[in-house]
Amino acid sequence: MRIFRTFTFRKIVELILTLFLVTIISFLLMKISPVDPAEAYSRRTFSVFGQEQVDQLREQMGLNQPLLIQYGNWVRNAFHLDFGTSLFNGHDVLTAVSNAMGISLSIVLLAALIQAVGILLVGSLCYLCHARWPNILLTALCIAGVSLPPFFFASTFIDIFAVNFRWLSVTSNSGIARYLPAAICLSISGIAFYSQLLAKNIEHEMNEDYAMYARCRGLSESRILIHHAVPHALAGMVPSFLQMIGISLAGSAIVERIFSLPGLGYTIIDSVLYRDAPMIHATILFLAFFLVLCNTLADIPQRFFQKGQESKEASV
Amino acid sequence: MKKLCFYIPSILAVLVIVFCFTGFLFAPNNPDHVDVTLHFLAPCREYPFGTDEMGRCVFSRVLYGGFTTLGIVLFGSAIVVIVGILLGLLLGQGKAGRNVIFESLLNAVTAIPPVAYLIIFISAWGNSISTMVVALTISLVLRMVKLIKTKTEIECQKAYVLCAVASGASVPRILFVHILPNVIRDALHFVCLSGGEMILSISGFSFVGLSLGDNVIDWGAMVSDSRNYIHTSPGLMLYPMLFIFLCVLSFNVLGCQLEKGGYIHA
Repeated sequence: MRIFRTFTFRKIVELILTLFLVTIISFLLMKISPVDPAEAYSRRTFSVFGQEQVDQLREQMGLNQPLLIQYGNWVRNAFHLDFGTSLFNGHDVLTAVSNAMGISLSIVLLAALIQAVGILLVGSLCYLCHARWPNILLTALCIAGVSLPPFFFASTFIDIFAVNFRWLSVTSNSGIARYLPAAICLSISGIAFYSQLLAKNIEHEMNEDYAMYARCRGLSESRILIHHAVPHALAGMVPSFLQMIGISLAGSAIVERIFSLPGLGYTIIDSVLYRDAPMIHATILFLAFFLVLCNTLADIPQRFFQKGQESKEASV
Repeated sequence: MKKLCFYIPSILAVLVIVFCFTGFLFAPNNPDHVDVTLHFLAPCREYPFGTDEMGRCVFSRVLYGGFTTLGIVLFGSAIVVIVGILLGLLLGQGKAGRNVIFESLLNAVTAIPPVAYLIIFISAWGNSISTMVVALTISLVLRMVKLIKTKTEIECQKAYVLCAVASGASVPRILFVHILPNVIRDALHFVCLSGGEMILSISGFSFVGLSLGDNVIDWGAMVSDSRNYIHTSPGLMLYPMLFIFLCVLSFNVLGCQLEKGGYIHA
């Protein structure tokens, strides 16, 4: 129980530290950035503007204060869930970010689901026909899948299915059909990478002593595979898979952009193009929060496995 | 003979990377030379990959683009390897790296994946070559430091280090002569895998419109520029894509070979 408490405590400290670091980085970088948000704003809104107008705007936005005070103000407001309004369209940042977060999460979770199924299928297929030609073909496909950029899949997907066949319209779908193409494109590289790993793990497990023992007991090969080898092989991959879900939230920026889905990554790139400071800070904060959350989730099963092993060893 | 077969993929991979990086020296034409009368030429002797919508030589542009993209990755990786290994060894060996605050700080910083660092840096500075180099270096250096530090801590427990200490070897000698050969393969493996990933992210961001600069040629931008002509001249898009694929593949192959071992005998 004490171990559990220190574990939770350490995780919370790490979470706070990460969020603190990320936000301070985004403020620091914004400060030493060559483009000034106030100037960018006035260039966008007014056709003619003078230096004093920009200065006035800067004062309004609080950009002329020292960095620490700006940061302090932002943190105080963030605690009240007030992230200001967007400089670009005047919308409330929190609503915009939570909308975007919803879209991104649906894409990423859908992609995770597709990946889980895909990895299981392709990985076991790779193992089942190892050292035969389908395996060579599958391995070659997997290597290609890892080495080709996701934006290639996405743009080709649109070019083929939306432009040539007109099977789907890129903009006006609703429900799951809206997220499915993006999720598929996002999940290809994950499937390619992890199915190879799974095949390797299963092969390793099938050569372990316990598999030998099961064979001696007269269990069929498929029963050993399904009941013993695959669960063991999967258990080793769960933590890194959970971490990968977090990473794909960041990585989905490019795919979202191509499919014009206004998710988190899309919002970040948009706010970069418009130099929309409050939006940038808020989106980065949420991104970091989700990443750390995924990392923590990935640690929990690892802890349990370790504990199980320790208690097993202790009982022996 | 068997040994040679084992080395062939690695040698090929290194050749591809070197070719993509230095290929611009042999570019047949000026990549920025515009000649609108010669647009959409089919591949011929003078223009090996044909010309694009403004009559520029695609082959030369691909080679120059490779110099930009790979230059960022290789330069960043070189810094990462040198600084990361030095810091990692020093921190792993001494007492300084063992305190709780430092460790949780390192954990906190490495909890964020490299792609997210790229996004953070791009969002603050806009996309440019220097942003990419800085973001890539910072995000990977910290991971490298953590990797080498953990590895060094493990190696320090082993008998050969104790023997070296007992026979009176100095700390630098232990670190660089005894421990370094045992950790360098992991370091190179890490750099190779992240190098491939970085090429994908760099070209991805310039593909979606965050270009590296107005007059910079790079593969991502080339692909996105030529998407409009995919039906009339698909080569425009496929050539840079092929080179991205080959480079990432080479990095992945190198990483796999390093993992299998035999490349560097420790």
